[in-house]
Amino acid sequence: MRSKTIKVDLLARVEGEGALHVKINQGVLKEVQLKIFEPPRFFEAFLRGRDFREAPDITSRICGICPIAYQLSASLAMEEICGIKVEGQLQELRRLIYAGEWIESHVLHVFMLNAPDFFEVPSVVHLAQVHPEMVTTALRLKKLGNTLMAIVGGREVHPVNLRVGGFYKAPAKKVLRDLLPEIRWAREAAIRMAMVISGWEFREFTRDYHYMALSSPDTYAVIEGSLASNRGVDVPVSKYDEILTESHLAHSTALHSRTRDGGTCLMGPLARYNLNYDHLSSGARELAVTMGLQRTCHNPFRGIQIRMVEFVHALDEAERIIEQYEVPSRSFMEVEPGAGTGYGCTEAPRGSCYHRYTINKEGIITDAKIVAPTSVNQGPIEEDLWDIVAHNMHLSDDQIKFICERAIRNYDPCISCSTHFLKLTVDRE
Amino acid sequence: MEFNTLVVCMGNEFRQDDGLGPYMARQLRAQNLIGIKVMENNGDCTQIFEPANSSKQLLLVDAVKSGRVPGTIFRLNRDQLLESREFFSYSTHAVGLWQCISMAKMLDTLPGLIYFFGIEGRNFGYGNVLTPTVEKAAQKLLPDILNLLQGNAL
Repeated sequence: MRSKTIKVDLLARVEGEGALHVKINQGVLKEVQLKIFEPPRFFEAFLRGRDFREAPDITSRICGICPIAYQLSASLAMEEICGIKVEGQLQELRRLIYAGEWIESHVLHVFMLNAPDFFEVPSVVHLAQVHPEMVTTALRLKKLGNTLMAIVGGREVHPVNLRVGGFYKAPAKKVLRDLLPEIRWAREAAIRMAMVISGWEFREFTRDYHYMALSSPDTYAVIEGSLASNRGVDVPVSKYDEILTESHLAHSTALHSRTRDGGTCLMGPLARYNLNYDHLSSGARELAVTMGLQRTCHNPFRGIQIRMVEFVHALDEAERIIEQYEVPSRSFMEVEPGAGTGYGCTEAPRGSCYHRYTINKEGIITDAKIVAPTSVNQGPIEEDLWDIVAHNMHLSDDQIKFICERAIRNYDPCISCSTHFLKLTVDRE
Repeated sequence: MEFNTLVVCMGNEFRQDDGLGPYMARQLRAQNLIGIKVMENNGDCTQIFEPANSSKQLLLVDAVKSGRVPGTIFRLNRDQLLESREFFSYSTHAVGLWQCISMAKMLDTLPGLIYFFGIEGRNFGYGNVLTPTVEKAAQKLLPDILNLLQGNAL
């Protein structure tokens, strides 16, 4: 019997860290496991006993790339318990800072983490050699996202201006309006870059995915709506736990999410695009058509294009909100604690970020549950890898390794949210 | 604010010795240095690009995890920094310091003068104070950084 092991010490260009193990026996694929082996971070445990107003700031520390997803999911859950609904300009400001997070995160993924794959170079440093204009443009685009985060949130990383009920301080109208020329430049630049990307070669790959995302009748849902899927799920966020359940798997310290019948589902840009296409901005839909995308897309290797569509949508949203912005008379709604359980879910760049809290009448958190989208996406990642390896076992180990890395990066997995550190091992026996 | 020198203090103040950058930022700001911008960075190194491009001199301060004795002080110049890829391979997020500095060099936006100051950490677990070993090393390093900022050669 022949036995061969290939190891990659670090799978680069994913947010956070984890590991993948592939086992092939006598030419037959036996095992594909996405392993996450950093100890769990116990956020849910140490939220217990804290004041309900602290949850947004504490949970934002789970991720430096998508803190707004955590802050707003936590805020929505607390506001549901306390019986308030944030609307009007405060809701628009929430949309605006979320647009900033999408801009920042999608640029990071598209140009710095995913684009190097298409040139078969190891990193964005090498991409800067072959495509300096693209990298320079990407840095300016990313700065716009950071600026939006800083203006509305107080600072770029782990913003401090968000609170249950709204914001500590509403930004001045002029500061936001001053951003409009840069947003308009960014939109043109993004379309230009998207067309360059569309000329790249995309691997042919499709599967019959179960897509799940927030969905709303009148908007490309980000901070509102019900949980919907292409297989008939359409429930309020409060029913999330009836649809998806988490379990510990022996090979991973991160919880894996499955549907109640044990199936997997896919969250993130591909799911949102397929479920909510009609609610993209007209400019984003126009870009999709120009790039040759269909009304639906089932190829995760085209996720880079879908992110560019969402990127333009986020820019259009930012422009619309700023043009209509009036400083609200109050920057937050008063919130008094009330005992109960509340649910919040928002669309992080990588997919639905779900929070559930129970607080007592003093406002102390007695129970907390947080599900990062990567916990859900680990399932389809493993299935994609299974499919890819099974159909490419004739390739060299290095070639298989390269395709697997790309397949994982398609999901922009934020493993730091569901814990950390990634290695790739292929065992052939 | 006009500035010739940018000092980027990197790290997370809630991860013990990884808080070296924020610690040093507080020390430097207390000096009210003229013509010097002190910037904290929590790990997204791409934020350094633009301000670095506007400065003549760039100083970077960060905790190090290289396996050396905790408290060891590192001083690297521009060339040493660019040649030290392995030294910077550890990063929570993928676009780390070395990648950004190298990328800036490729794009010809890197200041001519760059210095990196690092201290080997002992503990990177949760906590908002430096370990005594690293704090002592930081106090030893601070006069060197101030000396450099006041125009004296390293």
